[in-house]
This record gives sequence, structure tokens and C-alpha cells, in this order.
Amino acid sequence: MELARSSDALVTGMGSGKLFGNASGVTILDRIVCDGAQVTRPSIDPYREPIETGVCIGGRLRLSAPFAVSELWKMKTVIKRAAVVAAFSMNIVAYLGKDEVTDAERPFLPNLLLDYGQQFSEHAAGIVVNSKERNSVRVDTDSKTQGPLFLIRMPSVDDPTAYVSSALMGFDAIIIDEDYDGLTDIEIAVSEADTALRKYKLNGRPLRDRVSIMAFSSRIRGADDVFKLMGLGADCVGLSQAATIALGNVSDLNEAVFCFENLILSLQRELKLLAGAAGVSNIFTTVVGNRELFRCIGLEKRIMQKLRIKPGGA
Amino acid sequence: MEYPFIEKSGCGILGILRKHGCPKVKFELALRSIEAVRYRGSKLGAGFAKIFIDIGTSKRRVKVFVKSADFIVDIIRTFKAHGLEIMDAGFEIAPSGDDYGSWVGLSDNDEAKVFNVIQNINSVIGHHDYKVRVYSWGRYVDVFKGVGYPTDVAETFGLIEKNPEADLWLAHTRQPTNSPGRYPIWSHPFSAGEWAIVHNGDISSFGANVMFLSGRGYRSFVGTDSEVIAFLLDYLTRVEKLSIEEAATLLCNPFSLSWRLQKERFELRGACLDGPFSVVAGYSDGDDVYLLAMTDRSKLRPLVVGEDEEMLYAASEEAQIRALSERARVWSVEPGSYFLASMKKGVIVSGRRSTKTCPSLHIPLATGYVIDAKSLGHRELYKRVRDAIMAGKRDLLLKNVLGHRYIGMALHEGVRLRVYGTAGNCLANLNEGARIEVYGNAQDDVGDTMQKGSVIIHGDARDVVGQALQGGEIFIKGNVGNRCAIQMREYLDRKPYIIVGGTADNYLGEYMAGGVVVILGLWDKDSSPVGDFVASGMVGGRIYIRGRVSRNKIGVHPPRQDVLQYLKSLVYRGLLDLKVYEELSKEEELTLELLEERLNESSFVAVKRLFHGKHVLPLNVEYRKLNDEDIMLIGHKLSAFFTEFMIGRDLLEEVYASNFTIICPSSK
Repeated sequence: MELARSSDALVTGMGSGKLFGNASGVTILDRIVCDGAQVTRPSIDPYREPIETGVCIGGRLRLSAPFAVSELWKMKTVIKRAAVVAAFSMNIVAYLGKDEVTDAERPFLPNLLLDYGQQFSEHAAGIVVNSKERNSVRVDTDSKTQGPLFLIRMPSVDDPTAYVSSALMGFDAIIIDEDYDGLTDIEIAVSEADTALRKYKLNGRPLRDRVSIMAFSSRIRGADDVFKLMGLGADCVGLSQAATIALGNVSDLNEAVFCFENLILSLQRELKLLAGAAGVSNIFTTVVGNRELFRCIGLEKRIMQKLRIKPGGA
Repeated sequence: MEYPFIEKSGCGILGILRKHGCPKVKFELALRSIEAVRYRGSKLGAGFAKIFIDIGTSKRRVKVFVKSADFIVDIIRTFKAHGLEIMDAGFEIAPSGDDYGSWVGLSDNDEAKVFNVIQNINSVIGHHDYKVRVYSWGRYVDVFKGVGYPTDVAETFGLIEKNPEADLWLAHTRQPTNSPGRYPIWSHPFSAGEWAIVHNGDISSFGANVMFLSGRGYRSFVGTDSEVIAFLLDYLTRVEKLSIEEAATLLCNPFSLSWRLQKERFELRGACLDGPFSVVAGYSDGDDVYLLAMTDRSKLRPLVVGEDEEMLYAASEEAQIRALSERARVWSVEPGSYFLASMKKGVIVSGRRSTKTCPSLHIPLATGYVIDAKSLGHRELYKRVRDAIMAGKRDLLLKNVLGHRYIGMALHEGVRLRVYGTAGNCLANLNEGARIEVYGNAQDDVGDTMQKGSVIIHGDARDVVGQALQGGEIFIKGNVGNRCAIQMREYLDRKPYIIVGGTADNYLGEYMAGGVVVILGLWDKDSSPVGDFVASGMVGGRIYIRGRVSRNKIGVHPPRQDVLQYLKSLVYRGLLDLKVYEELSKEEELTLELLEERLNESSFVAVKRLFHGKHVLPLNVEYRKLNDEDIMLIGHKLSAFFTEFMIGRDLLEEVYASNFTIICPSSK
């Protein structure tokens, strides 16, 4: 909530030997730590030196930060309306699903993801095909260089071939959504998708290089979770519940927009602090899939192998 | 009093390329130059690479480190199994005990086929403990590397005796950070195809780069970040057919082009480098030979380049170039930039917005107490200076200075030191009142934490001039590099001054807390007197820059597209007039002041959040002529500067008639 009030980053600490979980217990994300900078690779101070947080999805959608607001349909109306505006003003994306775009919201389409078949979707940032409805949808995704992105939303599964076959259908991006009846943890799903798409070659080049990965989960709490999921292979991370909590019981739309923008700016600044602490000046090219920047503590070997992150001390 | 010297340093890198029609470069030159910075290395790794396009050197030399001669059979068998030929040319160094040998095989097969076999050998036979490692396979490249100082490695390969010639030599002395360094497989140069590189740094993008390469046929890595740089250059030029300029731009990923590159080179995004690096690379396409020198966007490692009539140079320190050429013109590569030269074309990309600097005057050695620094290490030189001062000498002349570090450290008032040659890193650090003059250029870190006294440099100085400077004055006739006046401060009656006759690069006055900096831009009126991110994080003091500096160069800004998008959202919400938006979108400098002037209060408050949070002070920037207050502050120092360097009064008049960009923290 403080993030939504101030637009400044909360500096909470520079490391700890203890694990921080929340009420629902310690997750895999909690067991991943950033390896950080050291003397030969100094940290960067984002207040005085640039750290780039922009990402590019599908080769043509440029976002100012790797954030998406997801599950808008679960939010109360004022927060949902605010999310649509803030996604545009902060140049990130919001996923509206099957909800309708109001007339007042039409100008914000360039930063909205809509489900296939929704009105105005041809002017949106992206058209989302839900994997469970894939058979009823015909998507022409042949070598598009402009217009909305085509994305497929899939549940988080522990089956790398599912991601490869989706990518081969020509989608620009895959949304892996833990809350879309996901069968496995988002951490594992993202890492497996990233690895599988890197292994699969098309014209001698990894499929991953042309397909973006977005990770959606209501478990995402803040910039640290975003940073870690990027390390596992996500180009962009969707927040939903975190936004609902941060905005609390705001009731005025303008106030809600202001707070939503604050939240995004604060998360962006936190992300810069995290990147700076790891000696990273460009998050998109340096962090995505770069497991070398992370270590894990107390994870079973089976999970470590799927994440491809070394244990602490290695 | 003894001062503890810190002997640890970064790696030393070097490249020397001959110009067309000039004699080939003898090995002894590369060795002399890299040994001039012996203190940058350690006994844990050194090496050389030569690049040459002689007639008759058409076969590729496949060079392999092996733990045992028994592996040669496996290597030859693997080549044959792929339908390729390889001729056993014997061992350059025979394996003995636990030490690696270096075996050479000659092959005439084409690049793509040989590449596959090598990946196979390195990832299969050499998989466990790197008992076998192919480390070079070019037609025009030959690598010599091992464990030891450069001279040790040269002796092992018989290079000192043979003194071979080449069109280009690379050299490296290593201070290991990413691998133990006890085996030659971790030494530089790293080579791939027709590329060889030497690197100083520690890249944070390493994991992302390995991912990128492993998806594109590179199957074995020794685990040091430097190796991937050679692989990336090889891949981008050989497979993706990028020009050297395009590949270098992608690797350096400069802030100014970063966004465009991510879109235009979307599928190659994993090739961008991040984190500290200086890289010198050599390449040949069989027709010409290229010398490439790249540095990271923050320039966290040193890199200078140079040129004389016969050769082109790239090095960690100017002393390495001066060890070979007194006449060479030397300049710093700017952050996120690269220098490219070829044997036939000369300098192709200079790596700077302008290489112009002050005219060099030959100033003969004055009379006085002379100490010859030739063949003295920096410790001995320091001791000789100290002994002379203890013996009552107050006016000392140091001749043949060549990169000696710590000259004039913590000297007291009344001492005058005149330095002839290239002053090494950490000149006049902790100076307590001495007057130190340099007739030549000075390397990095001049006047660090200086308290009092004067430093007068009749040439250029490189990065980090006047770090934490807290008293006295530093006058530099030529240009300065990155991060000049970082954390400079004033206290009590002490107000430090830095005056630069030429230009400054990025981060001038970063975190500056006090004192005065003046950048005059006297020597090249066509190029910007300063780089980017001027006065970033400044909290005190004043910066005067002659001429108009774009606001986009002052401080750190949010990306322009993001600001415009925000303003557009205000239009769509009915909070901003479309006309105002359109006008603002045409403005080249979208400053906070401008936005404050054009927007209503609530819109301004909203958009202001994009610019900075509570941790950064806003700056006050003016563009105008010097007023009485300014002249009170800097007039006497400007006169002293012009007198010191004997620069004509007409130029001083011109300076007084000029407009200045004046920066200080806002009192608001």
C-alpha cells in the first residue's frame, strides 16, 4: 500500500540468511536469491545512473517495464477502470479478458490485451487465445510485422512440449497463467517453457528468440518476484492480487489511477534497485533466462534441475 | 613514512595493428608493451594472439590443450569420422605430468564443418575436467597462452627466441576473477573462427549470453565470461553475416541505441553485453586485418587507443602505447563505444565524438634535480622522490616517466614536481599542497582525495579526475575522460577547482557536493564539450560548461517515449489539451521546467513522478554569460589557467564573451 501512496521504492534490505515466506508458506520464489554484484562487477546506483527496464514483447510491443496487470475481471470496477488507464499511462499492458472496453477506454487499446473475438481487439496491443478454446479459434499468425500481437494463454503445466507446440502455431507470445487451472508452480512452468523453447530450433535458431514468455500468477507480490521470474525466463510478469491489495478501498477513479501509477512506478524503481545490485544496466537483454545471476537455498534437487539454478555457494 | 601500495589491479589488454605498407609487427613489441603494465596481471595467466594474412598460410591451425598425448588419436579420429582431414603437426609444448601440452593439427576444411567437429571434441572428449580443449582453429589466427606472466608464456612457446612477425598482435596479462586460473584453458586470448579477443572485466550478462550461444551450436564453455565474447563475435559475423560495426554496436548496446536495437535485432537480444568490460579483438576475413576495441556503457574498465605513422594501438593504459611510440596520438574510447581500424583502411571508427585535443608543445627538460624513471618500478621511483625530499630537495624533475603509479602521493606544500612522460594512475592522490606539473598526458585517477596544492597537466587526463577532490586546483589543458569531479566536495575554507581546456566525457560531476568545475571546450568547437549524464546526483558546487548543453545530457531522465505516452494519457482523460500535447511532443528537450510551465498543477504533479523520486535533488540549469558573481568565483582561476598554459589572451577574451551552461543544485 505504501508503494501505491508514494511512487518511491521501499528499500528493505540488502540480503539475509533467513527465508521470508508469507502466510501461505515459503514458495519456490522465496528460495531463490540474487547472487548480486561484487568488487569486480560493481553495483549500479539507479538514482544517478540509467538502468533500463523496458522490454520488447513479440519483437514489436515495447513496454516501459516488464509488468502486466492480469485478471482484471476479478477486480472491483473502479480498480479495473484504473488499471486500464494506468497500463496506458505507464506503458505496460493490462489483460481485460472477455470484459468489454468502454467508449472512454478505447484510446487505451494500444496497451490492452483482449480475448479473441472481443470488440475492438484489432486495435489492441494483443489478442489472447485461451488454450482451452483453441480449437474454436482460427488465427492467422503468419509472419506478422505489425498490428496486434497474437498470444496464447495456457495453464502452468510441467510439460515442455505443450509450450513448444503452442509456439509452433505461430503465436508471438505465450502467457503461462498459474490461475488458469495451472497444474504446477509458475516458477517451474516458466523455466521449463524457456528451456524447451531454447532447445527447439527453427531454421537453426532457437524458437525462444522469436517467442516471448509472459508469466501470470496471483502469487506475485512485488518487484523481487518479477525479477526472479525473469531470471527463470519470463519477458514480462503479470500482477493481479498485489494490485488489488495495494489499492485497498480507493473509490474515486482519478485517485485510483494515481495510486495505480504510483504502484507501477514504485515497482519499476524497485526493479532498478534489484538490477543495480546485480550489476545489470539492461533488464531485458541481461536478466531474462540468466540463471547465473541467481542461486537457490534449500530446494530439492528435482526442482533445482527444472529451474536450472545452482545451489547457494556454487 | 611508508605508504602501503595495493598491488592488485585489473587485467592488462593490448592490440597492435600495422598499417598497410609498413613493416610487420614483431612479437617483441607486443611483449614489451604488455610487460609495461606487468602490475596489472599476475602469475595466473597470460597470452598472445597473432593475426596474419601471408600468402601460403591457407591451412587452419587447430590448436588443442591436452592433458595427455593419448588424446591425439581421439581428436584425429573425430575429424575423420566427420569426413574431415587433419594433419598432425606435433606438439608446441609436450604434456608432462599434470601440465597441459599444446598440440597443433592442420586442416583445410571449411569453417562450418570444422566448427561442428570442434564443438563435438570440446563437449564430448573434453567434457570431463577439460582434459582436451580446442582453443583456436582459425586460418589467420594463432594463439599462444598459458599460466604465468607474459614473459613466462612467451618463453614456453619459444616466442622470445623466434620473435615472429604478424599483421596484428594481441596480448593479455591476467588477474583472474571468474575462474581459478591455474590451467591454460582459462587464459586469454580466447579465439573462435577468425577472431581472437582479450578482455578485462566481469560481465553480468554472461548467463544470458551462454543461453544465446548454446541455442546456436556452441556446446562447450570453459566457464569464464571472456570466452563468450569471442564466440559472440564469431557467431554474429560468420553466421548472421553482420558487419563488424553492427556486431560491435550490438555487443556494446549503447544507451542511445538500446531501444532501437532491441526491436531491430529482437532475435539477437541475447548477444548484448552488460557489466564491466574492455575488449580488444583481432579479426581477419583473409583480405584485410581488423583491430576492434570495445568498452561497456558505464566504462568501468580503462581503454585507450592510438595511432602513429606505422601502427594502430589499443590498450588498457597509455603507457603501453608510449612504450612503443612517443609520437602516437592517443585518445580514450567513450563509454558504450568501439574503435575499429583495419590494416588497409586505417581508422574506421574512432570511438570518440572527436579525437581533437590541445596542441602538444614540446617542452624541454628544465634544469634542476633530475630523477630518471627509466627502468625504475613505481615503488623505487616513489622511494627516490621521498629520499630526495628528505634530503632537502624541493624542486624535482622526473624524466622518462612511463605509467608509473602513485607519483606525487601525499606530498606537502613547498614541493614542486615536474613529470616528463606519461604519468600513471593515481597521480597526486592525497596531495597535501605540492605543485605537480605533467608534461605529457596523465592516466586514470588524478588528484583523488587531494587536499591542497596544484596539479597542472599539459595534455589529456583519462577517467575519474578529481575524485573526492576537497581542496586545491587541477588544471588540464586537453581533454578528460569519464566521471571527472565525481564526489568532489568543499568544506570550511577549502574550495577545490577543476578547469579543463578541452572536453569531458560522461558523468561529469557525478554525486558532486562542492567546488567548481569549468569545461572550456577550446580545441574543437564542433563537438559537444561534455558527454551524457552531466551532474547526475549533484548536491553541491557549480559546473560551468562553455556553450549550450542540451538538457537531455544533464542528469538521468526517463525515456522520452514514456513521458510522451503519459502526456497522451492525460489528453485521453480530458486533463490536457491536445494542442499542448502536440506542441510538447515537438520539443527536443522535455524538461521538468518546460512541463511545469505548460501543464496545470495536477497534471504536472502527476507527470513529475516519472522524473525522479525523493532521493534525487532537482538541478538548476542556466544558459547565459558570466555575471559578476561568476567572475568573482572563477575569474582569477581562469586567468591562472591561461597563464599556466601560455594560451593567447584572445582565446581568454573569447571565453569571457561566450555563453555558459551553468549547473548547480536547485535551492527549491
